[in-house]
Amino acid sequence: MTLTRRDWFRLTGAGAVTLGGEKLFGSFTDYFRPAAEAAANEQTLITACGICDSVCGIQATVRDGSIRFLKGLPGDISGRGRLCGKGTSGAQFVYDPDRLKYPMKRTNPAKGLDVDPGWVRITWQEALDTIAAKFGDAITQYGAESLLFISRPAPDIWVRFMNSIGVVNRVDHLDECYLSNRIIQRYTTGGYTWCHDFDHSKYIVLFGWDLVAKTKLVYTHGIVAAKDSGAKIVCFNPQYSATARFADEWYPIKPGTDLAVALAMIQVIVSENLYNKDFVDTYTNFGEFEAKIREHFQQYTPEWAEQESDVPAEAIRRIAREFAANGPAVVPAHKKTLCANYRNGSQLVHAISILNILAGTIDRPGGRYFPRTAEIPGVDAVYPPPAYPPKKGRRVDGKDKLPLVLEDGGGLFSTTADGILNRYPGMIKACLFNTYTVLGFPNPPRMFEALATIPFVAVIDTLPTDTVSYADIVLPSATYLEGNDLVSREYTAPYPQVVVRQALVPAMFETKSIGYVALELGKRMAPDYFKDSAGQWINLSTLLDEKTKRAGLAENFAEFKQKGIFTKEQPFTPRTSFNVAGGTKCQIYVPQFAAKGGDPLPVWRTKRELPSAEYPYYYLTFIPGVHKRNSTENNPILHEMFPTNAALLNPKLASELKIEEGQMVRITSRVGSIELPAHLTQTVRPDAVMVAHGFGHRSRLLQTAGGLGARDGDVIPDQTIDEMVQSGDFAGAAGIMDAVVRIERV
Amino acid sequence: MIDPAARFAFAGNAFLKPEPARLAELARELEDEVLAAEIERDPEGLEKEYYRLFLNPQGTPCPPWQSVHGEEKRLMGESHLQALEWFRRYGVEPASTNEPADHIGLLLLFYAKLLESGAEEAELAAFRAAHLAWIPAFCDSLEAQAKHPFYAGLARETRALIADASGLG
Repeated sequence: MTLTRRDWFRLTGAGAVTLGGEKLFGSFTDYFRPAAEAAANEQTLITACGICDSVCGIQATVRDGSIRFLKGLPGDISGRGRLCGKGTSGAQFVYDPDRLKYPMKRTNPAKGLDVDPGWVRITWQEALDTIAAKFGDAITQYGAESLLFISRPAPDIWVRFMNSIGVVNRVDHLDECYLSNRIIQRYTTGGYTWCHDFDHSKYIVLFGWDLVAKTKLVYTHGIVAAKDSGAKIVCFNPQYSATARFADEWYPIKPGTDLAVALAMIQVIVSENLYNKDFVDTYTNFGEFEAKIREHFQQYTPEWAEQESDVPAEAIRRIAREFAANGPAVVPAHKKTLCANYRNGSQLVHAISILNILAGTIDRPGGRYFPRTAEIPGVDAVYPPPAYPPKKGRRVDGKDKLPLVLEDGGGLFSTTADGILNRYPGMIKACLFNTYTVLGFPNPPRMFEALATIPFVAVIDTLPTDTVSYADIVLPSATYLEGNDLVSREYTAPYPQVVVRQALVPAMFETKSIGYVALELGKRMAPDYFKDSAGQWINLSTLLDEKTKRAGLAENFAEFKQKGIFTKEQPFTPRTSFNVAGGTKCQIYVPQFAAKGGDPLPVWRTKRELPSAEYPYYYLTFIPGVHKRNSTENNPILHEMFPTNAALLNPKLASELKIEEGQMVRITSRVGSIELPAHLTQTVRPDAVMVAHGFGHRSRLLQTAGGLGARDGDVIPDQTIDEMVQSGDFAGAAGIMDAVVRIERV
Repeated sequence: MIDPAARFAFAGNAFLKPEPARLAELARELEDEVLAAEIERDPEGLEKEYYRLFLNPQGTPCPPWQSVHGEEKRLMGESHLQALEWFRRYGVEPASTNEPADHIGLLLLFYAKLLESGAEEAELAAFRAAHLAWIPAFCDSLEAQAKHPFYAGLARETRALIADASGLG
């Protein structure tokens, strides 16, 4: 018998089965339906990557509801028509077999990494109702201070949700990486920018930033273009990084002493009057504070800096002179490299700002410039909200002790665990993790300990993380390739450009967007903030249509999906007025810092911990170029390129410690220890050990990443807010690279 | 002897959803009181075990999708597209459009339907080769990892069914 199309549905339920089987075969129609006439054709769709902040444009090939291929988008000023390895393999996120698929709840109240939570599947309705009820109860009984959001401040509707319920305790890794930089830039050069016009730079000085290996394409393309057109690149880094190999000069600087070199460069440029006089006289407060500035920097001679940093004084002096003479010159200010790494990171950001001001390249070709962005209205502009409740309550991370941090609104990663456990024990009653893992925190075991004291934990994420082990409710979020949005260029934006982000395929399983979760929780907890002027619930599609129209991109979102990209080329007009807090001129000397518990000029401070008899070596971490934090290790393609971490040791140190290639070693700091195999390499200083970040997932069931490698954070001390304040770190650097360790054979 | 088509249909259903009441009903259609009683003995445990094995938010010990067990080790790979082709040749598609078509439950249920509607052996053999060949190894892993007797039993039963169908039994 030959069956033709449709026969099965005609036959269903009437099959001549030998033994009843009505329900058994009847079940077929529960899981199958009549097929559409023809399979969907292959389509090419434009969208935007979402792995890193470059958000490069993508051309995607989609066949029959399945993403087949991703490549760069011509005309995109970020990726310049290309994608990196992470971006190209992005479909692996969507199709990761481990991804969170349905809302789940735990049935076993006991929590721990090795406890079976007894998961059962629940509906979105039940999940959202439960979270809203738990959060609502916490606010009613204990106030908004009892909620902790470990979440980035995006998208805009998520921010509205947090504002509408008065969340005061929020931290995320952007704070860890950006906070000091945001604060310093606001008061020195005005605003907060990541744009660097490397293409036109002639002299680039890099403190630690391995931007070549990181393949954050928006920067990688720029520095390659700079080198091609003859720029000189100087790199200070204890590691012989990809960027160090690419640079014209590399100095294996003593860890955590970049500040000394930066201060000495300022000393040379100021004392020898090499600065860009036109810019400095016209656009900065140098004149007003000249005496103080000159006097302050006198102490930081290259000879002094050599003692601290191991960089020869002669080299520092020559580089400072070249930097001033061979412009346009720039010292890029990147995120983790500066703020997160060392306790003196805030001082370093200030010193870097001053170097760029002295070079006269703030918002000038070849320098650090402010993005010319397209104006896309946020949800608060489209649907103006009622007044938000005042932000009241104790700050679990203690940021209220640092006025500049409080003013910024960010949070402190490194003090959060101590806040939960010791400073305000029992205060946090409910916690929400939005796309974060405890692995990103310094000293993750302490954060797990803190999490275990919180009565209710909800997690929204794409992949299983160790945090899920402590969750009461797990919500599965859709990936960036399954969502809709408008992406405005912010990391490279000499003129406005917007790229569409459109769902290439319907969100898999029962995954939903973060925006959906914000809206639905908001409707339940603070309904007045989630209605339009006619009293109807805000609708996310209508909101997107409205944003598209008001930004002048297209009549509606569907129309913009067809166009894919909007570019408004315009000449670059350098700023003549700088949007600095409290004025219009760039500030070298910042009087507001003095008034708010900081230093008006950058001062030398050592890193938090220095090698000692007990812990004689520096402990450095890095993020492999093919990975992003701890989110990509389960991607089989990227895993193949960088599968796990090792203790990178200089052969000289290895020989002193009698450690051979591949041998297991134990790295111990004052807070913990990890064990992993040694890999001997000349690329690291003989007084340091380097370990890649992002491994050591305890979610051992992860297909690819489970149980592999060591968790680098276990040897990194967290800190108390009092320690941070006493150390003089007024802008909240995280001290991720401040640990010192001992190393031994296992 | 119970029709193998019905037994394939039962296995398909058991892999698709942990609904103890419904599975017990289906077991009774198979005239298997022992199985029905086993299902009804610990319905909650059965349900939790399903989620632990197949939909675990901490990482899935036994991913029930064919393409994960192939070279690609991911969802929606080639075997998903091939399964869709098979289904469409018979005028059907999975009711859920945003989940892989090569879920073990769908494949077993489809094979049951092929048997039930009297497909020729060449056709059956072609489907087995394309979409059931990975299942015995999967069942070995499932049997080893299952902590609830129902799923260990389901693994053995499914492996035996495929062996029988392939003339290896």
